[in-house]
Amino acid sequence: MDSYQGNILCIDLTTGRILRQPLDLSVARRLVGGKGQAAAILYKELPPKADPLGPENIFIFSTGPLTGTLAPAQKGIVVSKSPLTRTFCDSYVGGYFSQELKYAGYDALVLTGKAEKLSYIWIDNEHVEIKNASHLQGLTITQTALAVKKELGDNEVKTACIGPAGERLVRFACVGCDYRQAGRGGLGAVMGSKNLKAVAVRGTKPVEVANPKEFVKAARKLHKALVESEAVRATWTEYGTAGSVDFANSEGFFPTRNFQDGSIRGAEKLSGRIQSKAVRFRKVACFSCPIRCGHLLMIKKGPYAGTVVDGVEYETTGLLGANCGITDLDAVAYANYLCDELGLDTISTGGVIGFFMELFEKGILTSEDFQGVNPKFGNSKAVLELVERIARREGIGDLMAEGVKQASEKIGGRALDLAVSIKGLETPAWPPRGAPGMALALATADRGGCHERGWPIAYEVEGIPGPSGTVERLSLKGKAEIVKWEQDWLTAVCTLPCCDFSRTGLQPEHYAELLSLATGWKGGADEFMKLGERVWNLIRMFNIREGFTRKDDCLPKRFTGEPLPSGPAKGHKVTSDDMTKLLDEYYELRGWNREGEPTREKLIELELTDLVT
Amino acid sequence: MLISIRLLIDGQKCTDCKTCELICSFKKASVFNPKVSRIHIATSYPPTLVYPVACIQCEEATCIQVCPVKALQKDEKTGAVILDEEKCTGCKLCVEECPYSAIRMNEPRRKPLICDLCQGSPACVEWCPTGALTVKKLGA
Ligand code: SF4
Ligand code: SF4
Repeated sequence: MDSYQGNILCIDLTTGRILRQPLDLSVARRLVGGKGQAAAILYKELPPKADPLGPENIFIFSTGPLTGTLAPAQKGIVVSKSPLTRTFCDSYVGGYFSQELKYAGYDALVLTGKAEKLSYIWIDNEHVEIKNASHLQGLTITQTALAVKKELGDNEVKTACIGPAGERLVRFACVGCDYRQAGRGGLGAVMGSKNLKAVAVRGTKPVEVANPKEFVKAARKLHKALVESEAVRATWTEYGTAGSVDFANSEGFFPTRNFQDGSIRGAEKLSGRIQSKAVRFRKVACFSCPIRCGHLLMIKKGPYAGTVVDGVEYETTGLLGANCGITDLDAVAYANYLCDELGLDTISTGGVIGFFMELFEKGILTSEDFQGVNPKFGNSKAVLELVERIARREGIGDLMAEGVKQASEKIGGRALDLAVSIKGLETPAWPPRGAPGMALALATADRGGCHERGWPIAYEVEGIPGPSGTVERLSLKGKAEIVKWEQDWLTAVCTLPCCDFSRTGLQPEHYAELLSLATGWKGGADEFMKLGERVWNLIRMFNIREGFTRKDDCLPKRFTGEPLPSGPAKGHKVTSDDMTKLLDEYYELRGWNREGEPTREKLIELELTDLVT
Repeated sequence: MLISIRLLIDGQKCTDCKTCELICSFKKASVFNPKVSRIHIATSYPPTLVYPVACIQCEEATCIQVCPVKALQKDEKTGAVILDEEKCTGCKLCVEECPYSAIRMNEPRRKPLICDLCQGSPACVEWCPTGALTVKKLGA
């Protein structure tokens, strides 16, 4: 007995064929589940260089061995080849969809093909059905979820839906799972390309673990540790992620006006402190999570009064706020609401709008291009209007919907120098000019420049000791080691899959113990880190097969060429020279060659050879 | 001496994390699935309303009165309503008649799910991270 369900549900939307395949135990032993399991499926089944929006792309909801148990801080995970970055892409989400899928008896749901007309999938334990969704066309995410629940006659059915943006293949469309979003990488567009409006699940089967008594005892210990941790309370529970606004703004990390600066006057108006007074309505948490970083907000005054939205997360305050020159909390909360409902990733949306505002500021685009919108930094009305146009691909929104990288290539010329994205992923609200370790983490992140694959700022700025002691903020020394360590650890956590925020309070050995007690997996902290390294290398191999090389592990010109204008790291940038040094050291630590390719020996050591041939 | 307890519920504090449902399903059914939990988080969608619902242990319990086979009775020690699974026919009358909608069906087993207060120290209260669930001791 272990905590897997032993089944993978595969649906080909072109033919309507529904298959149940047994879980591959040799994969489960080595890659565990979640991110690892999905990476193995994608590597094996997806033809190289497949069109991410073509029927051949594979879309996976991947659960893991801790999904649905009492393990603290669980996440759902959606995986596909991204239409935004063309890399492997894993996007995480709270809510209850993933757990329900497991309760229905499946370790993963693997979707291929393209339905003839707009459809949704209904999974009720063994009963699996592809249903017509023509009548749901154009509905927002909440409208879709409510309509599906009503149609199925069960309010407690869990749903994963796309909004109008996903239907129109906006390259950074999100997937709305219950009331949360798998935001990054445009996986909502992959669903849209398959003519899939929603998936609804009900599951009444048990999830069991290998050693129930000890498992629950260990889980209790971890829940307790997280509830009682002062660091968890201060970092996450009290103000949520928006608690970072003050820190980021004073340390020069708050993305301001398309990342031109690292702080903005009035940032505190977006902070968790102010949010908790002005708009907080109730606290919310993910499945089995004692950290409870989430907040449901209600806008209390002004034109958007009465709007309820889950947020405003730190990333959203940075990108839809400061990056567009805006510090009006109500406007940012409303933009957040529009993105959630229309089905857009708030980070990429803010990145794209900030970029287009700068194109306007620099005269590269003109009023004519924007047809009736005045896209000046700080104009919140323009932001709201552009969000709508992107979601519907109207006017300039059609170009914006391609994302910063592809839009900048279409515009060409000076626009290329102002484009801030890494491997095509709009940069999150941790621009790295004042933290070279963060620069390396962004440049080497698997799904494009992402802050969740490693967050060296904790060591560089907050002074937490790394694997070899404390490091200096602006020095390159010790940074590659920290990045590798963070990536391996967090990747292992994503195979369970649990939340990277649990890093405040929990260590690799804690999750290793839970994993062992749930599945009989053998190992402690070292093997857990090795697991992360194994999955990281497999995904590197996937991205290499897609054509990514060393030259893609790079930063936009803004970070390598322009010094930071303010804050404690004022005048600093991460030069191309710095990047060369950081990458050389990082590749060597990883056992990769100078081109950033895992060596044969590395693949043998990680038991990956049979999976990557 | 009869020390009975009541579950006190503060819906405003509840985050819908489902920890209580999970520990309940584990304690009572040795598995994980909120669908077999005896406490249930009722929510609206979007989740502006979130409220943990469990048996409130009525003085004059409708469920006991309506059960045609006398499968429900009060525990002498704790005062909690308990179910005799052997006698229960799964007719659902208690589910339908509970004025508080506190009883749900364990669909796979076709038996009602009623909170028995864990012999006086409810596991959900121990695990709830927010203080949404607490117990109140009633006099001797
Ligand atoms: S820490 Fe926050 S994001 Fe992570 S699982 Fe808990 S509530 Fe969800
Ligand atoms: S454990 Fe507490 S906070 Fe979590 S769902 Fe139950 S009552 Fe709500």
